[in-house]
Amino acid sequence: MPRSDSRPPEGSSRSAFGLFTAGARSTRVMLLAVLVALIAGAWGLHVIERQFRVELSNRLEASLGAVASSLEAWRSDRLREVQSWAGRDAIEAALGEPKGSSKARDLKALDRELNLSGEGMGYLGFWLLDAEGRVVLPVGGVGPEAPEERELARQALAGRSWMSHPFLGRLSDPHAAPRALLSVAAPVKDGEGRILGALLLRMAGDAMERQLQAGESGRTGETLAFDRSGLLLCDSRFEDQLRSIGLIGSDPSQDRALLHLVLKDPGGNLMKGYSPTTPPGSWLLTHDVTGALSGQRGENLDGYRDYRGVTVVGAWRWVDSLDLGLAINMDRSEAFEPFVAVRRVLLSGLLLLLSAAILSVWFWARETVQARRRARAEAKLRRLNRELELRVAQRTSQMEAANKELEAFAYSVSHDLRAPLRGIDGFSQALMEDYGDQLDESGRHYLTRVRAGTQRMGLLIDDLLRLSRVSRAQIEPAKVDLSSLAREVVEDLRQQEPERKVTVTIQAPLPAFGDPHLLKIALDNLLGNAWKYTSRKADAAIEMGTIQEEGGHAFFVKDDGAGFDMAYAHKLFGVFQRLHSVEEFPGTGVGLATVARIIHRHGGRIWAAGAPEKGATFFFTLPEEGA
Amino acid sequence: MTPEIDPKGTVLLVEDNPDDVALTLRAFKKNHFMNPVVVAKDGAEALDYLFCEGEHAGRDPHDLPALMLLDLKLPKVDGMEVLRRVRADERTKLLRVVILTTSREQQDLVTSYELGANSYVRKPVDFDEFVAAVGQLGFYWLMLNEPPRPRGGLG
Repeated sequence: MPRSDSRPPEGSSRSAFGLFTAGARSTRVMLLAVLVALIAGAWGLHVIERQFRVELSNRLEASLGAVASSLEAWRSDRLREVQSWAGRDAIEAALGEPKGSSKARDLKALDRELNLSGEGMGYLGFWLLDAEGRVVLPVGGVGPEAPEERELARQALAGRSWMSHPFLGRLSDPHAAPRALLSVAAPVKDGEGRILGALLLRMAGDAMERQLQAGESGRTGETLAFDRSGLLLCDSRFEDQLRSIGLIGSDPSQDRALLHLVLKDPGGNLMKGYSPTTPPGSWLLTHDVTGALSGQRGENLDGYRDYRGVTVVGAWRWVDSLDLGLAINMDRSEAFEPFVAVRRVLLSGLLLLLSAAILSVWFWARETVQARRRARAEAKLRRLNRELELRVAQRTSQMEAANKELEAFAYSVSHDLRAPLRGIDGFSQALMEDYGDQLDESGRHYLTRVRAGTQRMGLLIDDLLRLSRVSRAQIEPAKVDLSSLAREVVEDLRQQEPERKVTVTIQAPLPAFGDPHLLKIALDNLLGNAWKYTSRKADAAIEMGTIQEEGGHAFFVKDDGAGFDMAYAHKLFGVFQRLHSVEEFPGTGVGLATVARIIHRHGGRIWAAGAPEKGATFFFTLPEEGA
Repeated sequence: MTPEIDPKGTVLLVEDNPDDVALTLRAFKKNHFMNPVVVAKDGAEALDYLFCEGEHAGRDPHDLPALMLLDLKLPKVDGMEVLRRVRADERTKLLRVVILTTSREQQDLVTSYELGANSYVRKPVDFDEFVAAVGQLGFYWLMLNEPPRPRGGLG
């Protein structure tokens, strides 16, 4: 697939763009779906809550109704019971005209009988009073003491059957602690309907409790009965807790809520450690009690504080026939538990949906931002590349132009600068030949000096041209053996001066990587210098080899000739810099500059060490192949 | 005109520098060459002479020089162009051409041979060397070397 391979950037950018738009569309659709789901969820939740409240309200009302009816039915039963007792002949007889000693005996028998049957029916005791309210039975009894029971007796003697609220009183033992009692009373009448007295049946104060328990539900649902002062007429489900928070005392006479607790709002949740800022005496009656006392039926599903300070929901009413208020309460947290559970599930689902949506939007946004950033970076990179290419092209063309100029200059120099020199030399020669006899010795000497000058200038021009050529030449590196190049150079030198006695030692092989032509020029100069500067020694030595250097090895060319002062080492490689006069050693001062330029153009280093009359050593490095 | 070895053949010297002309003529004299020397001061004049045009319109076109000494850097038409035209023309393509120049550029040398120069001689600055060089090339090209017989009726 050479075609697809050759155009990967275009292809990939196209597909990235496609992904980008597809992502945007699907994200938009998904967001819309999530929005619809959220609205539907919120509306559904609202509907469910409304429905739930309706059902809760119905349930509360139904429970309250059931409790009230069963309480009324129970009351009627008790009243009927006391009336039927009061209608017994023995009772009537006991209150009738005295009939001598038999009466006392009859009374004792009735007392026993009433006690027996009363116990069997769950009654704790009884009072039989005559029309003046005096105690007839039990014999020797003190009669009703508690105001509630006295009032009850009054009502019965006035001809009305009645039931008291629970009240605190004593049974037979006058020294015992008072306990909660509840009495029913009925008048005792003779055959003509005249009231002979009253019968009171006493039972336990919590006798009503069983009927109220019908309203108990769940963990916290309870039914409360209370009188006009808000005093609780039944027990509480939470007596242990009420004791622990001190709302009812631990004293045995007050250790129950019945008849000891007034239903007031403490102002905060006592169960959660709320400590009221005002004394209980100044607290207001609870919301439900207040409602019931105003004679209204009512309910509250939003929540109000009960006597524990716990937020509850409930319903209440005043029951005239019983002369008491009824309230049915349940902790709001429990009442709404099913709804809260449903809501939690629904909200969790919606939350999950929402987070998924947010997450995907975030991903999409990040992807978009990244794609944009990438595109921007790519564009910038392209622009920079273009600029760079442009700049490189400009520089290249500038450099090419400069190089061309340099070449033209060098060409000019090589051609034009030498022509006049040849003229000077040629005509000096002609002058010498044709008119030499007309000149004296010093005239001829001057002409010789003129010719020497032109020749030196010719050498300088040639060397400069070589340096310029070395600087311009294209480097074409190859594997090269410096050892064999050096041997060629030395061979040439020996041919030029066969009379010289020089011991040349060249390490073999000396593999290197560089331009063979340029390296040959470098060795020409280095070995040529070594040859030249040992010319005053009868028996000279030149050595070439390698030494280990930091990060590789260095080549060296060493001689035992005139050497140089290290103080001037920095001048060695400068153009026209010479450490010896032309008279001492001929030369133009361009050779080492040429060598240095060749080594530098290869990326190598060159340096020298030496001392006057102790010889000189030149070191140079060349980068390895591939470096 | 015989096409045999011709020690008296004309030498065409194409050189713009009068000093070099004088020195070359002196070198000829010092080497005892008696050949007539025609000097052209630029490439155009050299071509006129060879092809008998312009100033040299009346000249016999069959009378070709025995040797042309050609400088490369010339006014009007440069040495390379002269060489190219000489080699391209049927009448002159066998003419012996020696490049005699100051240029040391490798490129000049290569181009000259590619265009068909017979020799390439660099003028040394030292006049003694110059005399020796001129002597050697004159001796070789004018006396030793045997030129080819021109085909057609030019010879």
